[in-house]
Amino acid sequence: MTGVLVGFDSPQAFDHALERLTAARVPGIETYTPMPPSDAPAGARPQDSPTGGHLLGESPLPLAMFIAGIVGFGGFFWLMRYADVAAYPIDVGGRPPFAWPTFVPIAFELGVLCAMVVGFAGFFVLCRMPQPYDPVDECAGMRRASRDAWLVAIRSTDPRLIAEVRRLLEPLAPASFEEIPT
Amino acid sequence: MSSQPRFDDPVVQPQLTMAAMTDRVCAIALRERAYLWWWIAFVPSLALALLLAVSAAYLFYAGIGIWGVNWPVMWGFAILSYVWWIAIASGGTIISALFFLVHAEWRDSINRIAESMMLFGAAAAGVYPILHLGRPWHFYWLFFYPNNMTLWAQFRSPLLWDFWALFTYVGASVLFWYFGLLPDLASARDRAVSPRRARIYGVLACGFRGSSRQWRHLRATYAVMAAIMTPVVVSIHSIVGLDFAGAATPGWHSTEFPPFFVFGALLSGFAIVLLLIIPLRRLLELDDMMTGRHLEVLCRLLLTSSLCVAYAYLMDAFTTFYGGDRAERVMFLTRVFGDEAAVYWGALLLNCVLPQLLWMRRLRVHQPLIVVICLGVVVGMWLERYGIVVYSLNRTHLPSAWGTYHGTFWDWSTLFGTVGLFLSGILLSIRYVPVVSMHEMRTLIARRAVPAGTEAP
Repeated sequence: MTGVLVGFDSPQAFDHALERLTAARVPGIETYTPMPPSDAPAGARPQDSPTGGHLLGESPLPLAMFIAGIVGFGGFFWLMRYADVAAYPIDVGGRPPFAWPTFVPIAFELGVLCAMVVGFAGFFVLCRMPQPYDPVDECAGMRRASRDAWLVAIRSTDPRLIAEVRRLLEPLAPASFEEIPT
Repeated sequence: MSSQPRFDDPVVQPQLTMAAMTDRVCAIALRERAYLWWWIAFVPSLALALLLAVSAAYLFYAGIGIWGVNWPVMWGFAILSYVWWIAIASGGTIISALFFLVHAEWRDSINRIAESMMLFGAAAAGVYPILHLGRPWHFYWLFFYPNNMTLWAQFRSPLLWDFWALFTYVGASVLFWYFGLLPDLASARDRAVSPRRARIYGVLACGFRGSSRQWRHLRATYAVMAAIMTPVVVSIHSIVGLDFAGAATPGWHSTEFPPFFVFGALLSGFAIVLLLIIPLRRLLELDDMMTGRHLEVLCRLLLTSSLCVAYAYLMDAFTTFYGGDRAERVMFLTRVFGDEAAVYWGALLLNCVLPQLLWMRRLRVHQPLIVVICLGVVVGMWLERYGIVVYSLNRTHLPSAWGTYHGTFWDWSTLFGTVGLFLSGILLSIRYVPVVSMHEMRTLIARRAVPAGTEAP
């Protein structure tokens, strides 16, 4: 056993469970929910609870995307300037080789593409995906996580902690209470 | 299920639960045997797509001469159909990205269809520039690449903007589509009964489980991606407009072109999305998620964009005569009163006049009428581009360079072939990809369900 997976039918019960677990300072909490917990109806959001905020927090990806966009814009702008001014200048009817306004659209498009790629790849890196298998997948309750169940996993091999979790969550009448195998 | 759509329908029927919605949408993608109607639609679509393959193969063998393009009309069906397809794709992105940013609830059940439309519209558009190159095996000359001749592309040309805009648009669209699809692939994986299906969806879902970390990053990144896609879609169609405006050709050399093209993109995008959801909501029994509210909203947007297009047509005529350039006037009068004036008046009728019926509220939920109007718009937008591309090149500044243009068999076969490519792609995505963005629908349902009993109108 490497922990327990506790499922709830309503976001409200899920929120109560998180409140109790965080108040008792239970370590190793992970949640599996059918929608972003922050979008759940008011009163069931973990950040509304006094201590549940640590499960949400901010994502660094928007900033990374912004930086990638700026770097991509600047880099490709510079590359076009290099190509048309230094490496391969062509005189087109006496027009200046460094006609910078004409470089802006391509630099914009490629900056955008850099931002999209960084956002996409960064998501996979930060979430350690692809991760085809996780012991939690062995629990039957997990199959409802992408449907309508609100699940809390506590990863621990300490039987005393698991007993404590059971004591804390049993009164909330969870829909499922399963052990996560090794 | 068979009730008629009403304009005051809620955006999602209140009795729909998260579980029922997820099960039903997954069941569509997970069906072992396809619907009969699906085969009836797919076989002709695939046949048309094969016609595209044959046309392209013969084009590569024989060269561009098999098309009707010749001096002075060097841009024929290839460019005008490219613009037409890009406009259709752009409309899908607007629905998916722009209306995400403004928190439009009606977008949640149709954004997957809009995104599929964007993906396959962009694919159908992307075929044309490659075919039109003449020497398609040299397409990589457009890239930044080091070579021992120290040759570089000419970055001061608007035609190169077009290539990079399309490149970015296709790449970004694929990323945006797949990114928003991850949670739904996970739902399909968890619902799949056959191990083979579960494995395929499992690989595609990359281990998305709905953990707090995944949701946090997905949500933040998706919002930024939507915020990026919105200006990208405006930029790509503006750049397509600038391809024309950058040339000193009568009728094209106008600052009006970028917004004019974006208006056209909106109009054709809304029309195609309506044409897709009206049959699908019935065939897939999704009429409690795609309600009269959706038809009502999309018809209003169609009407609005039709008015924008009408404004662009009006300004096109106004600036021609206000500008006082003789070549512009000659070209315009040929377009409006010449031998093929039907093209101009047809575009005007189908794009600007017919959609005015949607001022009437009853007609905005009248499905057969909407289908007629939308088909009209789709044809009208093609006629509009035909007028822009062919007539300006037919009547340039020098009367000695005037000419005529007619599409050949291979022009038409390529055009219908791209329609087949688009339809086959859409049908395959309906068959195998969850057709509704389930994770966004779950959020919508949860938001609507609480507080109980106070259903918002």
